[in-house]
Amino acid sequence: MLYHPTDPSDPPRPPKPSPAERPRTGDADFLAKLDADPAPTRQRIRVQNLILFVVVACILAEIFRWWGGVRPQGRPLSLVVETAIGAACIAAVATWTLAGRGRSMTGRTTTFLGIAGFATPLALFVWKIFWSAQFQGMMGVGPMGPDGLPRFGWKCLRLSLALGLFPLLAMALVRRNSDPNNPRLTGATLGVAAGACAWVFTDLWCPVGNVSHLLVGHVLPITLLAALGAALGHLLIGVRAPR
Amino acid sequence: MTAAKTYLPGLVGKGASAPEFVSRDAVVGARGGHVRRDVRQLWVINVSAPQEAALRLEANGAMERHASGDDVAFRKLYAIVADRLFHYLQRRTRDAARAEDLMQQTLLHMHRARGSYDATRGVFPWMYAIAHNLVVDSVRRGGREVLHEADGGHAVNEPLCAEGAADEQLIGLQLEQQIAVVLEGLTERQRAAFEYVRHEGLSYAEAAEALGATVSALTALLHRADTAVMAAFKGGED
Repeated sequence: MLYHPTDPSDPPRPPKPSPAERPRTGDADFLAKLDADPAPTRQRIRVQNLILFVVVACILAEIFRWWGGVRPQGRPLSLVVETAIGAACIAAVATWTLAGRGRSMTGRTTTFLGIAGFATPLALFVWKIFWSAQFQGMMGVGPMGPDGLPRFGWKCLRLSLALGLFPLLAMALVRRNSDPNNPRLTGATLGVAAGACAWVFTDLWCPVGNVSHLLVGHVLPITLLAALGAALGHLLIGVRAPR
Repeated sequence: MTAAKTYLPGLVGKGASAPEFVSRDAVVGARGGHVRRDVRQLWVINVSAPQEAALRLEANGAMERHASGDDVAFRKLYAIVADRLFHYLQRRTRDAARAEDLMQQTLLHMHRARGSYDATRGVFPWMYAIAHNLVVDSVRRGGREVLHEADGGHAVNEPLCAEGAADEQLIGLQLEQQIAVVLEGLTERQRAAFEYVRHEGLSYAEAAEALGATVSALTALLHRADTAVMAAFKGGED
């Protein structure tokens, strides 16, 4: 490149704009495109979420009613009430913390989601075991199956999955395209929150407090819902560039 | 490169303690060195702290109005953030056309998600998080970073600080390239932490929010990135 000395008497040249300051070619077109793309406002989103919540609540109530509703089956009423209230509180806290975004537009931190995701099923499990242990014979294997073997909890597993699926789908829809950082983890924790909600209903239905039954019928569905949530998170919750 | 070698490690060490928002004139006046001005521009956002705070408030307000249904407010937001966002994306992709495309995708996403915007939360960390994600996604889908002369007159090998004498620009360009090489060797999160704090001037809390990490995790990522950059430049001096 040749060097051209500048004459001091020359008028000063205007400063060269940086690349970022130069006019971009597509600004006007892009803004026009946005004008033609009516995104839902906050008010509309609130109404949509409310409708979704009511629909999911109705579906859950109907599934639970169809499955048989509350079944004490020899459990003391106080045990049913105490385990249900505790589980409902844990599920409510889990839903609030795991489904919400906290004080950030990008969602909660990885650490928080990881800890809360593990703590929720653990708290539900410990709560159930603790109160069942307070009552005589409430941690037994429960009624035997037709083959004379103890039931493993497959019915509870199916019920939990059926009850957890709809809240999970609803929460994933509410959170769609909202997490640019940890969509899979967020989806997994949504699965945990949905599983916690399902736990409350399953707990009202199932009289068995046996550890192996609880692990298969009550904890395993939370894990499965978390795995499903992770897949949904990748598909729905993440922010991805259009192909 | 003498000026760069003697200057940059000190700058990184200073910047590591706290994010800086310093007006360019103040820096130039304090340093008194015409060469260092461009170097400094690579590291410090080019507006003063009150201006920056006002800008963020304005951006948050515009997004809030847009979320409430005011379509015109997005044009205001666009005017505030577009240059900054483009600048960031151009540095990440080194391709003006791709940067513009990703900028539009980022803003389109913000527009479509306006219903979920919360006025108590900042726009900038959200915007950078989306932009970063789109860059990573774009690279994963096969758009590897290509160093070539971008179209539309946006030369790739042009320093981002385009003012000043030729030697200043040259030093700025060389520094930028050296830093870019060092950043290539970092993990994605370390690079993002470095970009957010050192280049974009986000506070630690904002950068942590954009990364979806805690402030302590962000500090650790940034420390590793700073150490790598410092080591590279110190190694160059030997």
